[in-house]
Amino acid sequence: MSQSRRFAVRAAREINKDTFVQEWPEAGLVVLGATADPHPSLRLENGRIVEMDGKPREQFDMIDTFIACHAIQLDVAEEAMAMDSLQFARMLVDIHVPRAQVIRLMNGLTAAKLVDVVSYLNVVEMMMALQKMRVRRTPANQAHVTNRKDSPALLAADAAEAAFRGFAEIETTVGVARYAPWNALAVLVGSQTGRGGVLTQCAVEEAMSLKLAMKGLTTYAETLSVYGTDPAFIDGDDTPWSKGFLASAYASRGVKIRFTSGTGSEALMAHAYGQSMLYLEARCLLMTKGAGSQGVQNGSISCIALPESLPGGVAAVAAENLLAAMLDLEVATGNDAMASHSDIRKSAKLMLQFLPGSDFIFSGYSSIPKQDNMFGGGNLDADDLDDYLVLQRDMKVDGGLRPVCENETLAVRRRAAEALAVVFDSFGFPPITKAEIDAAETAYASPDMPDRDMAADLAAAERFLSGPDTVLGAVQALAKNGFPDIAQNIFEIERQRVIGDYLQPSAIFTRGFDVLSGLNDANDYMGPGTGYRLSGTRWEEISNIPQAYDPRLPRHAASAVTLTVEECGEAQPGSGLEVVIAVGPAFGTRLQQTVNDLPLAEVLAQLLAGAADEGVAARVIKIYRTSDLGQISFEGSRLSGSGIAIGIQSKGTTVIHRRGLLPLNNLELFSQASQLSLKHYRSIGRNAARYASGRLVEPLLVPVDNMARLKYIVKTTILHRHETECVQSDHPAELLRIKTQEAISL
Amino acid sequence: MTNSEENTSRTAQSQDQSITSKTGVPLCDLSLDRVAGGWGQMKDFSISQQALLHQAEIATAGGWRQLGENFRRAAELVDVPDNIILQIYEGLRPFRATAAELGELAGQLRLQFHAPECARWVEEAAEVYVSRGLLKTAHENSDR
Repeated sequence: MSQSRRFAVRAAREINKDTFVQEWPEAGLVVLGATADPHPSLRLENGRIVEMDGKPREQFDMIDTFIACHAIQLDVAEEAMAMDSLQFARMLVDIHVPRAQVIRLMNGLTAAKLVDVVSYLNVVEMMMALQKMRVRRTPANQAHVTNRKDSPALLAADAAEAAFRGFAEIETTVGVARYAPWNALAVLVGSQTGRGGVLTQCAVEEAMSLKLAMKGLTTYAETLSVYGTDPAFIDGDDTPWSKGFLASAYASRGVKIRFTSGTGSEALMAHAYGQSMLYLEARCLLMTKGAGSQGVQNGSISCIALPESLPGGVAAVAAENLLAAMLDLEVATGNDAMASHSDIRKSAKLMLQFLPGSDFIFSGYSSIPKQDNMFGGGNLDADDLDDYLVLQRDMKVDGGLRPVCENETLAVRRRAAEALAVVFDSFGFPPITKAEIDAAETAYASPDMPDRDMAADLAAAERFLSGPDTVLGAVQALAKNGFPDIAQNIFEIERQRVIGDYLQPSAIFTRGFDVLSGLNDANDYMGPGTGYRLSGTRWEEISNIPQAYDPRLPRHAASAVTLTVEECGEAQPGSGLEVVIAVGPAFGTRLQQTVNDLPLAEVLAQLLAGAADEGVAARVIKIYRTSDLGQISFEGSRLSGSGIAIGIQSKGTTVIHRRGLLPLNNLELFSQASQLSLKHYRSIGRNAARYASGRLVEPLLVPVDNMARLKYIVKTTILHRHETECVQSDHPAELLRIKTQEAISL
Repeated sequence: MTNSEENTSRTAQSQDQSITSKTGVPLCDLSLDRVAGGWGQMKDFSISQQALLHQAEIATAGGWRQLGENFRRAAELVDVPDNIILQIYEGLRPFRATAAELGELAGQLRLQFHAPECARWVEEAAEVYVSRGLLKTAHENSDR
């Protein structure tokens, strides 16, 4: 039991729900530098590799053989392997060394050498290197769209919203495997409603995944997992050759693919051979390249909490993303699975991919609430979208998303569900009802969706999969039933298969179905002023989050009582027992409410009533020559018969001043106007009166709120700006007569 | 969506009108109106061998050698039926096929489908599977 209450509070924090362990290299629980990691080496004889990373060819395992046959480019291998790893590491961050020059040499490196190179970089250097080495200049993002009920209307609506929000790719999967063709169809129709050209996939078993692609229901696949040791790979029920064949099979059907790998998977499968996570990941990446995949999703993916349990784990995940980019592979940089209980830790980790940018910053941002994320992911989810949009705006970073407003979003969601209903109707599926469309438009998550007859749905989905209907039937139905734009987008997606430009590295489609890839949008970063720069309309788009308002426009709610004042000529020095209430130049004219929306009429009435409570008269004087509180009260005290003045700015900040004190000194200062209530103002009036009559005064204590400055600083700035605009330096203080007193009940 | 959209001149897309689908339909004849009218099958929206070879050249020229090789193998698979593709994939998974069965698949690829690179891929796998013990043995159930 903790003795310290502070330790106890910390122990209960989210971060301490995460698991942390010390390294255990024999079990592969080490991110870098395991004793069983080989030293880099490469020996060629007669144009073939006879030794690699300390192992002679006759001892090569399955993966070594594949890497030696397909991954390492022999024409540069000897030159590259002879170079110092530290020199490579420096080239990665040297803005004077073009990316292409680095890539050429990387093509010749072994797994151990690649790891040796990144081991010289700290995380900031890794981020610099990722910024330079990623394939596509323009960063992008991928969404997860799934739901626990496999509700087709909700899938369509959610896919539409994800596309509308700017995700370039959408990945779905199934709760029940047999829903696969329906889910793929729903996400395709939905995505093309939100924004034409978004690529979609349905992550299911390989053979099923291929069938969906062949029916035209998906445009990419990234379920091609590879592992860094033979037994782990075989437990995954594949080999590098079976995966490589799949890569070709997908391409032969015009489907984009990327492989999947990530640190920790081998240790999780108890097949790490005492080797470090990064070394095994480097082997995965070389296989990915050797098999001819254009890219990879890595960054530990679903194993993320395993490297994060270890020292240096988050840096290692950044290193594996970088390794992929160094091998000229498109990289979708993880951030897709739950990585921590702690929001601080999740955000900090995200920065390693978000700030430098990657081809896909997330290999699945949960654009739906995490309760509906069937990948078991949702590290960031639908609830966090506004946070993410603010991060883009804060850092001036393109995270691939754009702010949207609710009305447009709901319209897009509804349209997608309606379009899918038309498609369902044309295929003779059990109908999508109006109640489902209504629910899909505004749902938070799948519990908001009406239940469907699952048995009938699954039977229809299976008939669809085995029957002759394809995506072309959907195009036809949409074109004929009032959705020609969606039909056009899906048609164009299918037409693009014939061209195949989007099979090239890091390819995505723009809104106008132009391909952006490593070929025509090649990353040309070479230091400041080069590479992708956020500017122009895209920066405006990111800047204009709907919460941001125009500070020039008045925003205060109509005041319950409007203060009306009459100026009665220049204020003269008073005599006898009185307090002066000296108000700022905008008080009751341009400004009518304090920073926390108290009507100035009521504030002033309370100050006056407070003085009256103590039997002291008060005069209200408007100060024109300054908006500074110290100067306002200083001038008020100069005019006050008793020498006591309350100075108040229109935003509500108040001070009690006595003649003879320096302007910045005071009797009582109430600097956090947002914390003041009408009751407080009454007490201030009373205290001022007691000072004036020479009685003992107990200073008024106002609660302090640490968040007040955060909450009110913008409003304070705006109100003070208005007040200052009303300053007239040659205008003497005016005596005021208050004309609204009768309306105020005290 | 992106900066680049403002600058359409950078989009070097293959608008080569000589591209045809696998079934020989020219790109310009693929239209929404025709599909809406009931024309077309998925194979009319399938990439052709020629288009994949073109993409292979582009990838290779861009420095993506292995991607180019993949596209060349893909080009060979264009005319291989879906079920055969799935059958070959299944055969390449661990412990699914004997050396002889893999040999047959390679032979089929080479002779029936004129797919020498893919055949070589299967043969290379078979060699490794022999030495690494990844073949189906006689007593093993084929649907492991």
